[in-house]
Amino acid sequence: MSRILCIWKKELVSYFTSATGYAFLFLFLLLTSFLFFVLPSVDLKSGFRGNFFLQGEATLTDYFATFPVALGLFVPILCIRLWPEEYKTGTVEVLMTLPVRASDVVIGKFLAMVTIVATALGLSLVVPWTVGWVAVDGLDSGPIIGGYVGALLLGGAYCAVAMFATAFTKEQVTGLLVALVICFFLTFAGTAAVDLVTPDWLSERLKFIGFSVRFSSIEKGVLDFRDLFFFLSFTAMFAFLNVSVLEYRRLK
Amino acid sequence: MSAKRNGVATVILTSFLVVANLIVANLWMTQVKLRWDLTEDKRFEIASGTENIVKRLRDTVNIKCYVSGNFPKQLSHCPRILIEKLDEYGRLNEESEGAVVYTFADPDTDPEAKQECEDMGIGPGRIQELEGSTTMKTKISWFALVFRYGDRKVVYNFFSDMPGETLKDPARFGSDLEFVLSRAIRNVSSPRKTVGLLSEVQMVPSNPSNPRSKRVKYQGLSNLEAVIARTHDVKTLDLAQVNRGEPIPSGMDIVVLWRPKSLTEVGKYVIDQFLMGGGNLLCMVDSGDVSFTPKPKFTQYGRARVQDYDLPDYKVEGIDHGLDDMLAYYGVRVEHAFVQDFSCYDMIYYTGKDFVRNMFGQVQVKPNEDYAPYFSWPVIPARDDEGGLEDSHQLGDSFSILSPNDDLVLTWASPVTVLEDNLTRHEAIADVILRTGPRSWVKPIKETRFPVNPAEQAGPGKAAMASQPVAVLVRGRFQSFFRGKEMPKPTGTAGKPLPTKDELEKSRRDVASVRGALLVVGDADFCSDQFITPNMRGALVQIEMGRARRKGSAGGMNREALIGRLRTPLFFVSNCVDVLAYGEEAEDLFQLQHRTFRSRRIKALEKDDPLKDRIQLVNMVYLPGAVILLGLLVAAFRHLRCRREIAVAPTHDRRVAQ
Repeated sequence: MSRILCIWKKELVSYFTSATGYAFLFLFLLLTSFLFFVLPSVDLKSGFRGNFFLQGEATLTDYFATFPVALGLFVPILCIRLWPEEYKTGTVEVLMTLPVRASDVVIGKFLAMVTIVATALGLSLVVPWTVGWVAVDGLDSGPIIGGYVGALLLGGAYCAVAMFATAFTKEQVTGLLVALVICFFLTFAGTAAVDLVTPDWLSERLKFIGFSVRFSSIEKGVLDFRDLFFFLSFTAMFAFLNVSVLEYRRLK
Repeated sequence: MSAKRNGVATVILTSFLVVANLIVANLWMTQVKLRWDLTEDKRFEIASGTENIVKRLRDTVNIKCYVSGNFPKQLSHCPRILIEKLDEYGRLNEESEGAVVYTFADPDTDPEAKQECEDMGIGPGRIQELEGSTTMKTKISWFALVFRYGDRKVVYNFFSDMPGETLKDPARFGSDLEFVLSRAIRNVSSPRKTVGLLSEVQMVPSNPSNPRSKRVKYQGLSNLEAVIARTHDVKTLDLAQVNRGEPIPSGMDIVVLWRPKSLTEVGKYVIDQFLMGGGNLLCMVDSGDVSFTPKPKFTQYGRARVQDYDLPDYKVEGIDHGLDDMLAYYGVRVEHAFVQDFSCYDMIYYTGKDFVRNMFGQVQVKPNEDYAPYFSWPVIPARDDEGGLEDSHQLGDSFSILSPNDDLVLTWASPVTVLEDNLTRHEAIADVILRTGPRSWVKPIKETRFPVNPAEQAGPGKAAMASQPVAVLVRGRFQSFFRGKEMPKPTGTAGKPLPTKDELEKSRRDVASVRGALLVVGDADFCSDQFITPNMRGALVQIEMGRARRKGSAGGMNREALIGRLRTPLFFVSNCVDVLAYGEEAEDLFQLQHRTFRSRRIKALEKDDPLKDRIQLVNMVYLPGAVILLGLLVAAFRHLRCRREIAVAPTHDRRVAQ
């Protein structure tokens, strides 16, 4: 455990002593707020529905709807320095010679990333607080709790996927592109827009793995065990695969 | 070498096994239905109103779902949600004497099911679907439910019944499904009531000399009729005939007496005897006829400032509807006055003309309009400002009779007073079910002028203001207004033969056979097509559209707001009819209706509201800015510390550091 904590601390310090951590927080907060407060939300059926002020409803559904896109975009960027940089500078060799297991390294790095995502989500709590200023009957806490629980699980899943995707290459740009493609595929799989152009046999399967589809039911305020299990198992699976990649590289 | 190869193989195999196991576990988990509803009103769980409706069943409700197997993609989730919801209903069967059971049939593959659909008048929906990536095709799909209870049947076609509520937004399909199902179960398991719409409104040709011209529906009750017809059988009755002595047809459960203008004695007798026969009466009374007197004062060039001319005026002439004595006998009085309320709707008025160029460069004359608060149009809020439903507007402290989201606008409403002394005669109780806000007062109709100019609408001091009751429900065993009196003689012989006085005398009752209900509303025209017709001619519609134009809001939102406003008076009257039809059983559905359609609102913010700017600034500038500032501070701190370390380090270390 102490080894995991050591790696977690080292990664966290390196994020916040460079611009990466701050840039992630800044971009995440700016993009999600901009999409929610300024840009009109789009619905395939009813078209433009207006932004938060024009819709006039004291709900954060549209705010949470921006999370899959924002996290799918920024988490891979956060990830590019995890493995490619270690490979490039050779520090991964040093790391592997230390008395730590590959799983400790992966979990430590994963927890550091999840901590940054959690920090971003924590800072974004300002949004429900400010929306509460104009809500006539106050806000329903259920969907907000659900939204943040779901966002944390979603963030964790993205972190695991992006870590796994970048673990294959030494090139940062290649790693970033691979991670972005996978994250965007998972973000938009099964959504209404994609569903329209998907063959019938594939449609239900994509909905099964689509992050946005899974997240949308949690953000309504319903914690469905199936969705929670999906996100947790997905995260565990990719973390395990990441460990396998490291083991494979070490053995190779 | 071999050990290394073995190790690699083990890693690959283990990875494969873990992935396979997790996929299998996820597939298996789809069977597990375990979830926690975190919402405050538990809107994703079965409501207690639904539980009560299912518990009251004495027999089985069979629901046959006609659903196409090959459903359009954008709606493919709907049947799944329907099955999940019906399963939840099925779980309530243990607590009920009756049961809710369902079966599925696919009219696309089952010719018998298709024939059944056609026999019941269920039509398929035509949905546009993308084929390939470029071509659109129309997919014909079936999606309907048939509820059977004993020999009764209710058909609900998702594609044609209330499309605005159900399939308007497929993403929200499940949100009102429980309301739809519970209402249908209630309707099929309760005997369908017959409602008579008794009014003087007649559909007359707009040009009497040209009978082919379009029939005028503008001032009619077509919207109200359509809304009530969703749950009850509606029959239109002619008040002129009743005024001559024609009895209300037997089998009528509820009569909506809408805006009587000069009720004769025999007409009153007919209505009185309807009550004595166990009928329920919804009496909507207007105390004044309002006529508009515009006062345009255009300047030389057709454009004027607001202060240059008078605002429009409304002249009111009292209506002697003839119901005063009879209603007073039953324990209520509709005052010959109008409620004035500071919490009121805006009245549109024209301030002149603007000459504007259109997109083709042509000069067009555009009316210039403005708005002023009009105290004679009180707004009854669905909720108070502090939040939560306002107790004073609730019936029996348990449900609100108003639409859950939208405020109700009354147009020239009269206060309804309860006469406690007269109630005892009928062993009756009276409940005020609708009140105006606390900042209202009463202005007698004899003053005749009800101007729009706020300066001319001076109210009394705050001490003289009080909430005014505008709708009262009286429940009791009524005694006849004509008890001990001579029966009035039927008049007029035009048309079909009317019953003679002797015939009427024979069926005369002096005391009601059962306890009945009388609901008196001090306003009538607010639910007429004149105010709410969606063809953009109704007064409230014009005002809403004008407001939307001024605010420059997005089109979709305006339309939603508009539909909400239109629905409010109809919701109210329809709920009044339900109260009379089902008594306290109506409560379950109202509770469900509130949970389903109620959404939390934000305060009305103007375009340049400082609060709006503050929220945007905090979230989009201050918060991200604070993160950047923190980053810069950390960087500066590290830089300083680094410099300090270099400064205290020995020379060779400093060189290294530099």
